[in-house]
Amino acid sequence: MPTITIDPNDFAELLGQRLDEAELERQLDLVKGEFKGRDEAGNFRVELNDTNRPDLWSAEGIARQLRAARGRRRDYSFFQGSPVGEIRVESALADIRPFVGAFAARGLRVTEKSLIGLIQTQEKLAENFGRARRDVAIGVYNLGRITFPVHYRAVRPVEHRYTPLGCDEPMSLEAILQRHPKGVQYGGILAGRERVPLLVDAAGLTLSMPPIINSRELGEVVPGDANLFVEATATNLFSLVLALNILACDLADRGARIERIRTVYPYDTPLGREVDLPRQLDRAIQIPLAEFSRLLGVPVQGVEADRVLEHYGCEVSFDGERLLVQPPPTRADYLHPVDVVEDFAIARGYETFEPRLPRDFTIGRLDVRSAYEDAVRRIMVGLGFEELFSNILTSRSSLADALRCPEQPLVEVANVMNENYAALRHLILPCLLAAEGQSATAAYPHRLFETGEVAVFDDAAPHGSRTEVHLCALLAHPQATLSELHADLEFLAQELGREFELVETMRPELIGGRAAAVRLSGREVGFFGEVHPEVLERFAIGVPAVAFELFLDRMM
Amino acid sequence: MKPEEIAATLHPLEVRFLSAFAAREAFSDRDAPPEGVTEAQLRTVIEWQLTKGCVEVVEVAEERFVELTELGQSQVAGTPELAVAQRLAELGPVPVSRLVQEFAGRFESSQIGMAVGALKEAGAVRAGEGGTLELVPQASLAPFQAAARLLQRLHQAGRVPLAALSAEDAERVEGGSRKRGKSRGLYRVTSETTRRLRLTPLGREAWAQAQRLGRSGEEINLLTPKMLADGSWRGKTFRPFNLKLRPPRRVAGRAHPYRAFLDLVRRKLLALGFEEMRGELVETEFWNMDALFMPQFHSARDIHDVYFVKNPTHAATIEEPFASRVAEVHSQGGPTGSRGWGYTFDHQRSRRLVLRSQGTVLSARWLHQARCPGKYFGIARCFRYDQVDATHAPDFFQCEGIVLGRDIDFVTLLGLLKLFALEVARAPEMRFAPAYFPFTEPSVEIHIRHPQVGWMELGGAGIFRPEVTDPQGVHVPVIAWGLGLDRMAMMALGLDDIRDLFAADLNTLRRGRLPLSE
Repeated sequence: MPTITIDPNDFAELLGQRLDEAELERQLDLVKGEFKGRDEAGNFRVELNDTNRPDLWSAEGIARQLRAARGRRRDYSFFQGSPVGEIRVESALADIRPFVGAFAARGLRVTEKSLIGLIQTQEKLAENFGRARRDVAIGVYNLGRITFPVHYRAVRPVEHRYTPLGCDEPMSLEAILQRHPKGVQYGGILAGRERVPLLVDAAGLTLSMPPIINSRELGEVVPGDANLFVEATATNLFSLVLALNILACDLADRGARIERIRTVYPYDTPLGREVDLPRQLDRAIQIPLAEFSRLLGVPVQGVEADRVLEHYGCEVSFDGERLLVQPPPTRADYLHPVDVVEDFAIARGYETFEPRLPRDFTIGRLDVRSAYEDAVRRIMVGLGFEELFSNILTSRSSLADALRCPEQPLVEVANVMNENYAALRHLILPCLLAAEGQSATAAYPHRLFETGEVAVFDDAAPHGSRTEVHLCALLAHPQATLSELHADLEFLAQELGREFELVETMRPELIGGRAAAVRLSGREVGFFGEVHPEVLERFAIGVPAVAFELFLDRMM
Repeated sequence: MKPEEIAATLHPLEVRFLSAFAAREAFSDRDAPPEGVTEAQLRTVIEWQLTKGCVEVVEVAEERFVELTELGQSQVAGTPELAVAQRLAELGPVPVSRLVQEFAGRFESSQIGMAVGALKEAGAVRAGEGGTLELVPQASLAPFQAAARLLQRLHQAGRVPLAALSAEDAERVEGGSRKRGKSRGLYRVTSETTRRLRLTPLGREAWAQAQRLGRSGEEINLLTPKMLADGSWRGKTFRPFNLKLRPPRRVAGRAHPYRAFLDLVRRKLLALGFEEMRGELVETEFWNMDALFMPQFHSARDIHDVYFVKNPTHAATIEEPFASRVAEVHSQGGPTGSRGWGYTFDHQRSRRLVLRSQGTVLSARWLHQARCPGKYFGIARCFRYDQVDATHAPDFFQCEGIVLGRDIDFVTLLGLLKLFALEVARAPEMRFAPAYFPFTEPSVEIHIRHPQVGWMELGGAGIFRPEVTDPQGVHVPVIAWGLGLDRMAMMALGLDDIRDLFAADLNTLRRGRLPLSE
């Protein structure tokens, strides 16, 4: 979810009105935006929550949506007309980064502010919508220096040199990929390619190596520039069209005259071999009027739906039964009629709907495991145990090594961020031992317990593991003995109406001769014993400790 | 404390003390205790009375006392000086060695030497012929007899104020105890501070009231089984207890505060007719995301950073017909009337195992088995690839659920959220805002006004997209909702670091307060 910064003066100009913070906050509902305060320079910070509406990730886009609500929708004429230049694509790009497109923007007075805005929009689009330039990358150039046609070529990285932005000397493409900061950051997208994309003009000057970095000769835009060439490359043609449509409308809103550029492909694309951009996207949705009432729970008239959606920037035609709704060319998020219904509700205002309580009768019920867990918890509290509630994503060493069981199979994380949070607990015991290790200064005796989920590694299970519900109790104080905890275990069994059998066993975390498996009708349902001193040492526990852990699922 | 409170709660020992001492203008803490009170008890009682302000110190005096040392005690039966003089009188002139021999076992030779020295100095003994000693006839032994009397006196009295001795005896004590050194001295002088005390006006008033209340000092302190058996409690009064004193701290069995908070939420949801859902900690991407119409190659999935499982990496299969239906919906929309996302669905990716990253996975799994009408909730532990800090715990709980029904629509969705605001959060002031979730349309967030922090988000909800419900064979509208429990819990428990919700040491835990139910 992108957060953008907006210059309040710039925004007032784009909107044609100045909004105070409270009013802005209210109106941001229209764009699913959240006002996040101001930055040090006094700029508004706005978080945009709809990941399917990249057209809103700029001051221009937000202003456009807000203007429409006041019936001041602008129609853009540049989605038709003859192209003023051409990009010619080389066939090898089909397998590398197949799509390219561009438009020209003239008569713009590029100021410091509008330049910052343009760069921000371009970056948010490439980062969020273009998934860090993998899907879509954008370049902006000084139009006046480019000689058409532009060629989109695939070249070997050692074959070509140019001076990238931020450098003084020409470098080979290979060197740029290895050493230039943007090459280091985005080079992964082209990793393993024998040839990489390159944009050069008819005079042989380099525009850029998409999606990495522009050239200094053509790709540097400074305040005062009036005419721009805006280009995008992509792995998906519709994403490319949408990104360029958004940028074209943003620049048009700043007073630029947009001119189309044609891309000529040597291969077939979903839009043919000659694609002129910007262009309309066919994203119209047909929706029966009745759908509005059905989904919203209030009567909606055709004229109302028509008017409200028009005020949300759509073009609507209504035949008395169905509406045909065409979103603006900057939007491609209508997948289903329900999307249109939501736009209607947002444009009408959620505050205009009166909440109605659901009337259906249903019965509240706990899951059997929860009910059992609750019963056990009540008994344990009655026995004077203090309840713990631990995080269960922890380190392998605290679960396996510290219990003297380094080979213990566990459910582990593949993409570890921090070794401390890399494995799911398979027992609760290590969580209680960790808590005890931190409680040396608390008044004794310590009687701890926890119930809850653990993940047990199990090859035979569909997900390679089973989620089980356990109970663990730990007793720690200078005179702690098995007999004391045995009495608690016995009481618990009696309360639960179960008869346990204790069978001597060997467990690495328990002292030999002081460890038992807990059995219920011959089935193992837990263990009980005195914690091995080596384990106590690992958890920095300075008093003897005895514990039992029961596998509650097997006892219900 | 007020005099009447003091009077009502006087300990029987205090009553006995006051009966004996209240009439005195002043007294000392060395005074003899009244009957039925030991010296130690008297001192304790005086401390209690000082603390209560019933007694005050007039002056603090230092007093010196003398008593016999062990050596002194050993000479009560006879001092070496008198013994030597008497023996010389009986034997006539003899060498010193003879005297040492005579007294072997009674006095040491050094004591004999010193006694002879003292007798010589007093002119009672002199050197005779041939290295002998002889008694000076008619010589006075009075000082040595006086010293012996002092020993007798101290032996009988035990401990005597130095001031009570005659000047001569005092000098004897000072000389005897100083010149001969501690280990060989006959006397030990100690000093003690003695406090002169008197009752304060508060003490007088309290005692007067206690007398009016009939406090006798014979009240029952502890009621014993014996008293109950023999009926000796009859006719007696009971000493009232002072309940203003802070009692000792109790360590007891207790629920964990955060867990208790989650219990409260569960109880609320049960009361509202919700049925609980539970699931697995390890899930497939299919149920965690695909079934919720989150496209496999979209930024909505990028922001949704998850933990992948190391081994095994994939589930063997995904349940049919759901796998095929969901794949179709993602790529072309299938029979739902949707365009779909327009990409080639990757079944391999669907089987990838992850740590459950959102509670909605429970709803996704429940849809095809849910009753209609039906209301469901789950409080699920979830995991996200986030840096652990004050706002991100290693794992956390999400409270989510679904509501199925023929009368479900946008306004009942708002109604449900209103119900949550009123019943779960007890917040009468609320507002709804448009929201975005990949799996619902329309989507809404509810904000409530919290008395302390102002407007805050309580939760989000929406109506499941047909792309989510249709593949599960559900053809009625379904509300999907989620409540932001972390912040509510932190406020209910007075915490400002999410990690403290999972407090893992007893000191913190014992300090933490439990949430209260209404």
